[in-house]
Amino acid sequence: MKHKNFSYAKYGYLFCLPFVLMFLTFSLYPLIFTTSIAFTDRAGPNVAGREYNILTTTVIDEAGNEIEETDLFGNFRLLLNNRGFRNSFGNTLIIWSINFAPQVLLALLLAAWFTNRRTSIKGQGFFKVIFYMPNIITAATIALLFRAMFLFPKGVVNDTMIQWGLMEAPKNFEVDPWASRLIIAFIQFWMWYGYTMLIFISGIMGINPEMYESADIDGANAFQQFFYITLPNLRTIMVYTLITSLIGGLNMFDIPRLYSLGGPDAKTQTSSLFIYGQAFEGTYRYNVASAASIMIFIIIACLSVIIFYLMRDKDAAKLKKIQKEYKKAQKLAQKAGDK
Amino acid sequence: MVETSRHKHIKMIMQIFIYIFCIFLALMCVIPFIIMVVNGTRSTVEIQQQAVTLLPSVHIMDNIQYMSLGVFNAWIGFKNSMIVSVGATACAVYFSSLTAYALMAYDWRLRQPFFTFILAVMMIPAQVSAIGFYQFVFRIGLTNSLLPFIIPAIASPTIVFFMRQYLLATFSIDIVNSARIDGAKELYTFNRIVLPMMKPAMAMQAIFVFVSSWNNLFMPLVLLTDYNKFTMPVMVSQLRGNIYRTELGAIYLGLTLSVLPLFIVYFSLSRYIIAGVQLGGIKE
Repeated sequence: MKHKNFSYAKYGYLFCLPFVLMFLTFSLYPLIFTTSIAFTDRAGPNVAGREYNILTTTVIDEAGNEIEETDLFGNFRLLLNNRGFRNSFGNTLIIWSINFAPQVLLALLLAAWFTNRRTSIKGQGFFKVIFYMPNIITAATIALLFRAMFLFPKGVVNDTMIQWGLMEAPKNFEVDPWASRLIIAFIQFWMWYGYTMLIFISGIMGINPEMYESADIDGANAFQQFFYITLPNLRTIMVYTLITSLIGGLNMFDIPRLYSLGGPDAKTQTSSLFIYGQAFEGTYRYNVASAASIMIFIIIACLSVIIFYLMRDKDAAKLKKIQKEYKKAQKLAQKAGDK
Repeated sequence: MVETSRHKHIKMIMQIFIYIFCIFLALMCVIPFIIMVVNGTRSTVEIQQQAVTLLPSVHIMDNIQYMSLGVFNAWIGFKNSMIVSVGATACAVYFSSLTAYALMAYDWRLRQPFFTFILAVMMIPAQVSAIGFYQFVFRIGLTNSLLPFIIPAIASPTIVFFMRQYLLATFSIDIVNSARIDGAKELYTFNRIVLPMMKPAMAMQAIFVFVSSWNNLFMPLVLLTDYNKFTMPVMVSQLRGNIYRTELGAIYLGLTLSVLPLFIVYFSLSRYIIAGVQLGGIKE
């Protein structure tokens, strides 16, 4: 061969270059920029040539003089004491939890039915296509569609409820905080259970079929098989679903923005709406909005780590620990032997 | 014998229950969209008299007229969304494949750290850096341009990851080596030999990039103030405006128009889409 010692390594770097450059410019730089803004007084409309400084506060020293002291975490402190921020974070958690629990339960149930070999469900392909459909439709459109359907006093839902005798008079859903939260949670649930179901189905299909066969031989019924084989083996997929759903849920924007604009009385104001409001709706408080983004991100990261830790495979972890100790003991024994 | 027939009965009842339940869920999924499409053809008066019906009416032209009274313009939204989605899809799919190829075909020192890095940044939600992104785009003068929604797609960690998994299962360095012996340049080998091999994975990822790019609301809402640059979701958000408050027919029609392309994409490619989602689930 002509180039026996020719190294192709440079092409590895070369072909990654577009990715790396774009990542640095449009992801990493904005991330660092956001972080740094969070510690400054960068607020007000963008004006060319204006300078921004790290936050300071005025404190009075022992001699009674007023001195300027840097106050790095001023924006964060402001947020922690801000009722709007706390309220929006609480709302986000409430709406996410209301949607997540039923979503996972329904997805699990459907996945168990669709993968059960005894009750083979026909038309699965059709059901999968229909259940997944809301997930790919523009969330903005769905939010306004539900808004139109829940109109007061004459709307699809009010009309139907009255016709079916479920309600006596039309209800103004728009002004009821819990109704608004429930509707937003329902929309999220409705958009996502099909996706979660598909993920669970592929997870169940990845489980070794021999486990089910030997369970059959041992006479385990469908419920036992579900609880003792399917559920434990779905652990990784569950963690994945929980974390991706949490990330998505804590960044929820489109639906509360267009369905209720955060109302009534800011009861459906989510964190993302809060951040958007601080930065882009006339107040230009970029610094506070940045600090809020960073805080939400840190909370997401911490929650993810906690979920990983709580849902980790305890037996596997134990086994690893024992193996480690065993190796240690072996080494020690070897050392002692060498002497 | 009696025992088995009782079992059969239980099984049948169970099956019927499952079907009824699934049909109920399926109706729950499609009815809102049916209402949307049907009401788009009805006048506001008709909708107020009877909100739910399966019978379309004849007022679609009136609704189009009412719709154009406000800022909602389906054609502009469609055009801009098409530019953004096609551009972002092309960038994301091509460059992610290239990056994945670099991770698979070449042995370079930073290869493993780079892959670990991609895994780490995959989980970071884009919204964290939204403020910084906005400030940056503002400074380089690209607000009211569609480029900030297209170019960054070149760096899509999730797609790189998926493409790498695909190559891991299908790619063999021998093909590349024989191309090298024939004197092919490296980029040529990638474009002409490797890329065609990756077509199935690329098609699958293309659908998802297209859809998520089409549906994106947050950043376009922040960056676009010029009505001629509005993407479809931003156009849709205009339907919330006061002008349309009383024009229900126009709202429903606007909503229908905004998702028509998605319905066409979805129902013509649904089999691949479902397979793609299920493939995504086993990426652990």
